[in-house]
Parts: sequence; C-alpha cells; structure tokens
Amino acid sequence: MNRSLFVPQRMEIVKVTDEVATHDIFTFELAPLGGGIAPYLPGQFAELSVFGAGEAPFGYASSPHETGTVRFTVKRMGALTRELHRLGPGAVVGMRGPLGNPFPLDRFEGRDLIVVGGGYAFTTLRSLIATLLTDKHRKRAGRITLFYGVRHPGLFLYKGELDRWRTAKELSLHLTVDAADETWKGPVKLVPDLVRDTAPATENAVAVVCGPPAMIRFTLPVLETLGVGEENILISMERKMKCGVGMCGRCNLGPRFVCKDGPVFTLKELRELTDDY
Amino acid sequence: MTRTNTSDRSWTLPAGALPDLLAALAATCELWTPRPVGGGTRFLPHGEDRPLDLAQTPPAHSVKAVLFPNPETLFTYRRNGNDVALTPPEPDGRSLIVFGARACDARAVAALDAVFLGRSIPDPAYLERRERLCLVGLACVSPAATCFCHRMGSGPFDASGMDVQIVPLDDIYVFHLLTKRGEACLAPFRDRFEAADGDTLKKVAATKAGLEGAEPSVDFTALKDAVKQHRDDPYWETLAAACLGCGICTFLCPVCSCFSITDTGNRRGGRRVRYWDACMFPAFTKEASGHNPRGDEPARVKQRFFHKFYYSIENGEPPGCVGCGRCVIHCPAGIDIREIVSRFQPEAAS
Amino acid sequence: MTGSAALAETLRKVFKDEKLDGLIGYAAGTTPLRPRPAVFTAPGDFDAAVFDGFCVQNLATYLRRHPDRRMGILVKGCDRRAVTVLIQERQVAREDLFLIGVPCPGMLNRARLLTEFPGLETGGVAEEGDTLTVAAADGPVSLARADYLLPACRACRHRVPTDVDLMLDAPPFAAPEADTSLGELTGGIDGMERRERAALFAEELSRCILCYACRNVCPFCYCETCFTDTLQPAWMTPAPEPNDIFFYHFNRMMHMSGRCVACGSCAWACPEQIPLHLLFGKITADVAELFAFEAGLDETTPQPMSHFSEDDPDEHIG
Repeated sequence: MNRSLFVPQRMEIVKVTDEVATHDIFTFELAPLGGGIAPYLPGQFAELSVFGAGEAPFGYASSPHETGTVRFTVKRMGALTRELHRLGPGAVVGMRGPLGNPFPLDRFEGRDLIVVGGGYAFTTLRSLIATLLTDKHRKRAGRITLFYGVRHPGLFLYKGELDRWRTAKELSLHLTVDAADETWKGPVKLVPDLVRDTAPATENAVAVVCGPPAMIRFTLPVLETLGVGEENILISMERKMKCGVGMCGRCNLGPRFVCKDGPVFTLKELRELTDDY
Repeated sequence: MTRTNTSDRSWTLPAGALPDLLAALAATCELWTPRPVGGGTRFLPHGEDRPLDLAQTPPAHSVKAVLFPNPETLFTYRRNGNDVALTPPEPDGRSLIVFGARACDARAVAALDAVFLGRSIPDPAYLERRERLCLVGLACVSPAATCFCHRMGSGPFDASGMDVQIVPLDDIYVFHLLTKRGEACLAPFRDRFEAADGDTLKKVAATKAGLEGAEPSVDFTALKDAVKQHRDDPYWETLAAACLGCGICTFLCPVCSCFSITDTGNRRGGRRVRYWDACMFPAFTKEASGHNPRGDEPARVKQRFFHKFYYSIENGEPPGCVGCGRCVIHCPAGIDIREIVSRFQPEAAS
Repeated sequence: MTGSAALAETLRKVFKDEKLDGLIGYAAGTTPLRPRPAVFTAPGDFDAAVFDGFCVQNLATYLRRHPDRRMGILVKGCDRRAVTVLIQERQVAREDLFLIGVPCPGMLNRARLLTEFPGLETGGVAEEGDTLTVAAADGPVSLARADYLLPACRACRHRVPTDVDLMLDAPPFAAPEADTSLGELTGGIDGMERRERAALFAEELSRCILCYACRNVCPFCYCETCFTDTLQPAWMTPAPEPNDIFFYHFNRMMHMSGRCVACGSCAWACPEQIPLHLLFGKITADVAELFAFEAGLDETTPQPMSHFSEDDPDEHIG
C-alpha cells in the first residue's frame, strides 16, 4: 500500500450481526473488492472508512485462519460508528490495514495464558483466542484461562462461540456480570475480583489484559499479587488515532506510539512510558 | 577586475537580474517565493502580483507550508451505486523550487523527513514533493532578536538541507551550488551567471564570520536527559498558567507536523483531507468515550516540549526545534522556548 | 504609577493586605515589546510586574481558571468590562475578585512598529506623555503615540475602569482619547456591495489557519466544547477549507453580539494579522445602534441577546 498509504482498500459489507441486547454493537463482515486480504495477526488493527464520515481504528475480531473475509465488531459511539451502523450488506466501506503489531504469539508457546477482557474491547481477544485454538497453535500453547466480564448478561459478544469455548478442553472460561438477570447463573462480580477469587496458576503464565481503563487499573495489581511479573503482563492500549503509522502524532505514550510501536505493550514498558494506562 | 580562482560551484548574479531568473524558473518549475501577504511574508507560488521579500526574518510561514500543505487532499471519493471510486491527486512532474528559505527552515526539512519518510511506509504526498524539491536557501544576513539557531546547533550560514545557498552581497547574489539537484535546476540558466571570483568568495567568508554566534549549541543528549527527569516538575503548571492552548506555536513551527484527517463533502462525494492539528488542542487526544489522556493544559504544554527535546532525540530523530523563533514572536502568552531550554540545559553544556 | 518598581510594590501590598490567592497581571517578557500575562502567587513574583503600552491581552480570560479562589486582577477599561460580562454570565463572582484598575493609555500596535522599525525587538520603545521614542536602526525616532494605537484602542471610549477596588495612578504616558468610533472603523463594510464585501472577507480570511488564538484569547469564548469541536452534530469540518473558515468566524461573531467589549485581543493575537476588529467592531457597533447597548458597562442592564423586550427592534423579521 505504498503509493496509497491513505487510500483505503474498498471492502463490501457481506454480513452484519447484531451482537448484544442493547443493539448498539454490530459485527461487520467485509470482503475485498479487488485485491486480497493483507495478512494480519490477532492484536493488529485497521482503519475503517465510511466515506463522508471519516475513518477510525478497530481491532480485527476475525482470526487469520478465517479466510476470505475479515470481521470487525463496532460499538455505536460517535459520528463515524453511527454512519457505519446504518450500512447493510452490499454497502462499500474502506479499510487500511493491518496496522500496528500483533500479540507476540511466539512468546505464548509453552506458556499458560491468562486472558482478561471486559466490555466491548473483548473483540480483539476473540481474535486471539480463536487463533490460539487452531490446530497450528493449540498443540504449542499451554492452558488458557479466559476471564470476560460485562455489565449485564445481554452484553456478552459472540455468545455462540462462548458456548463452544465452554467445552473446549484447552480453555477454562470464566464469565461474570456486574448485574445479573433471571437468566444468569454465573458469578456477579467485577472482573478483577473474579480473577482474584479464581486465582489461576501463574508460575508459567503470561497475562493479556484488554478492557475499559477502570478494569485494567484494578486488574493489574491483582495479577501482580497472584505472581505474574510486570514483564509478563501484556496490555492492548487504545488511543485516539488518525494515521495508524506513527505520523499524525497523537497516540504517543512518551517517545513511543501506540499505533506503530503497540498497541500491545508490557506493563513494564507502560510504567516507563506514561502515567496514563 | 582580474578574475582569479573563480569557482565552478559558486556563481554570481547581479541583484537586478534576479526577477528575470525567477520568471524563467517559474516557466518550467513549480516555484515558491517569499512574498508579503497581509503583514507577513510567506512562500507563495511565484507571480508578479506581489513583490519578492527576502528581508523578513523569519518569514511568517516556513517551508513546512509547502511540503506539508494545510489542508491537503489525500483522495477524492465519488459514490456510484453501492460502489465508490477513490482517486488520489495526480502527481506533478515538475521540479519544486522553494526559493529564499533560511538555514532554520532548511534544517527543519530533515525533521519533517524523519516523520514522513522515516516510518515503515513513506507518506506518498510528502515523498512526491520531497523528490521534486530543490531548496534554494538564503544565507541569513540579518537574524532577528528572536532567532536562536546557534543554540540549536546551527547558524545563519548553515547550508544543511539546501541544494543551493544564496549569499546576498552589496549588489550581487552569490549562488553556491551544493548538490547535483541544485546544479540541475540552475544549469539551464548558467549563462545568466558569472563564476564567483576570489574577492567575492572572501567577502562571503567575511560576511559569514561576522555572523558567527557567540552562543554555543546546546548538547541535545544532555538536554534530553535533563528534560526526561522532569516529568512531574511543577514548572509545566507554571507555564500552562498563561498558555491559551491555541495552535500558533505548533502551526508556525517549521518542525511540528502533527495532523488530523477528515472528510469534507457528503456521502455521495467529497474529499478526504488532512490538515494541521496541534497537541495544544484538547480534542487532539480526546477519545470518542470522552476519556482524554492529555486532559489538562500542563500535560499538553509538557507534551510539546517533551516531543521536541526528549522524544525526538530518544528516537534518533533531529531535534524538534531549529531556533527560528516564530513561536517566540507570536505566542500571545509570551511563552519563550529559549527559557525552557535554558532551564533544562545542564550547566556543563553552556 | 511611575515605573515597574512602584507597580510591583503596590501589587505586592495588595496581594498581602487582601490575602489574595493570586493576582493576575502582566510580567516582563523575554523581549522589550512582549510583556506577558502572569499569575502572581507569591510576594517574590511581583518583581517582574510591568505595565506598558504592550499589555494588550485581556486578562479577564484567565479568571475562570481559578474557581473558588480569591483573585486579584489588574484591569484596563476593557478588562474591567469583560469582568462585568463574566459576572453577568455567572462565570465569576464579584466578591471573589479584587479589582485593581489602571487608566489605560491606549495600547500600541506592536506588529506595525516592528514592521516599520525592525530593530525594535531588542531596542524597545520608550513611552512618555503622548510620544513614543523608538530605537530605530539609525538612531532614536519620535512618534505620536496616537498614530500607533491598535484599531480597537483608537475607538475606545472607556479606557478608565469603573467600580474597582483600587485605582492606580494613570501611567505617565497616554494617547488622547478616541479619535474614531467602531462605527466609523467598520463603516466601510456597510457601503460595500455584497460581492465586494464577500471578496474582502474571502481575501482576509484566506490566511486563517484555524489556530483558534482569537477564540482562546477571548474572555467570552469559554464554552466547554466549542461548536468547532462538536462531532454530533459536526457543524463544521475542522480542516481550514474556505467555507469552514467563514463558518467559524461568522458564528463566533454571532456568539459575541451584545457581549464583545471590543478589547481587540483577538485581532492582536492573530498570527496572520487578519483584521478581526472589522468583524467584532461591526457586531459591537450594530448592537450599540440597534439596542443602545454597550457590553460590560454595568451589571444590571441585561444583554440584549439574552433578554426579551417588547420593544426590541424586529425589522429583520419582515
């Protein structure tokens, strides 16, 4: 994409899935119009364009083995996402990606993995887990413990997939909600408390944390208390971005950029870079 | 006058012949010259409508405004049924000559290069202009009281970044051809020039010597190390107490190159443009959720100076300041970057 | 007031006696023509205090940054009027403020002086009586102060602040009072054909880079989120395209009607020297003509745009 750094690839929306009870989070499945899908890995992101409304970054929700299309899960937040939510199958949007660096899958080999997600940011963790459960990776990974919390049961993303993961032998799934309804049989507690109470083994573990700032802030000390070192805690950062390639200047954490040097950083790195994570 | 020791890389032009030379260049090249508009001089596409002004130091805007125009169309989009056609702008094949840039502005191009050409993918629009650029610089014979290029490791005669450097003497201009590109741009007009003789070159040297700075350059590595230690210094709050949070310092800075991207038009058709943005604006980093990692004025003021004197150096890029003094001249709140440098410059370096 | 040492002493005394948390004034800058706004918070700070013909910036802009603190503020006529508007708009409370008035000598056009006398940045300007002595390259030159006033100051009829807690002596330099009015300054606009008027503003505003210095320096542009920055709805594209530049300036002008005190800070701050006083002078002159109202003269007369009266003019409704 050399000559056309800022000219997006045209992508046709082939499917829109309404994910949650509040109907404000949709998953868009996109197929390229001309050209293929540039290779990507979980943790990377792309800039999606709605022509006339602009461009914004979203982590890939799909996994590289799911060929032919890519998926992004988008919450209606601002002007661009509102416009995107109005579009249905057949509409053409733009995509620039992949941008940023993926989760360090090599580092996960032979290690147990503690994955902690909250709210809508779970989308990039879905890509990670789906990738790790493929034949290529699962033999090499250790045990995966997944914590995922939302405000109430209607807000879980990818419900069908969560049901399948419940029975996957490589993965133990721990879901929680802030407030239950009559359908909910699981724990009602905040994500950091769930992690603390579950106390997964940490001797050989790497942790990945992705979620709203408050969840991250309270989960980090729990993980450290359980024994995960700051160099083994990975956090996927979010910042406002425009260019995605380290030029526009806004997403820096100290001297590094979330877009080109991240978005995944270790807690150790973050502590050296910024007060705000 | 006997001609001895004439130079084939230093040519002279009678001052009166400059307008004709510029007109000839403009006929075949994309030529930008400093000319006055509304009280300030800036680089404009060459024309006869306004006189040339080589006196205002520094011009209101730098070479940045030519290489990184504000706003700039990245592509046009036009919807056609469900599909959409995306058309980037046509490249311009001509040489791009910026005439009369001072040492500070020429030097700033290296800092712009680091951002626009130094990432994994070069910026296509910037690269397109940069590859056509022939920077015909002007030795700065009347630095302003707000100038401090010496302290930023340069000087009025610094030719780094220039393809040609012009030195104005009494009634002639001496053109020093510094690069192949500079030679190529001026070669077709060789017969308008004479080779500079030894006396002329002596005069140039004397003019240059008269402008050597008493002020030594800062040690940028030491400055970085010092600035880095002051993440929590209450000084940032003191500075921010007067800062209005406007974009003057960043927009007029020849180095500051932060931008934003937006669509102008509607769903049927329009343009995606990029435009100068500033770390001084709260909206620069404010996220859709409302969270703002640099939510207060001290954090934003600090970001500007940290970027210039810490992050750039740490990342092996040119320093974020070339000492042009535009921010000093125009800051309504009187914030003077020289004071900030002095505050953090370790004694050993001064 | 005879010099900055006396000024420093006076302000220091007020700061101590009134037990102020801070005092907003002007401090010496790094070059002679650039005094700068300062918040003095300790007795030692006042040594830097100055007041001269380059103290243009309206200090009332800084008041809202110090909620729940007892602040002193140095006020010229226009700063005082701005304080009144902010009180009317419930942005500051009179009882939290200690107002130190200074009879304004009329502020000087630095950009013009620097253009005409390039050496001034180091040499500076000596102000005495109605005369300026500038350190020009080939020796001192005397100028009539009145000739070098900023446009807004040439038209100002309220130089002396009223209802202050302490009035300083008039500085020993001043220009004679107003030689023109806002109506006269901007009258040319009325006489123009529409196309001519559009061409004038298109030409002047073509230099605008949307740095928002004019907005940020204004005491009355205190909206938490400016219409320039809202995304839903996005009233304008934030890129400096001609339409958006027009939209920005004319909307801001509308927001200023009945509030602008014609301090001229916006035009003064503009790095592109766009004659913004034409816009704001015009709206202010129009409000004065239509509503017989000048902003910031007293707290009790309501602003015409925030108040309905049966006999408001309504010709424009047709």
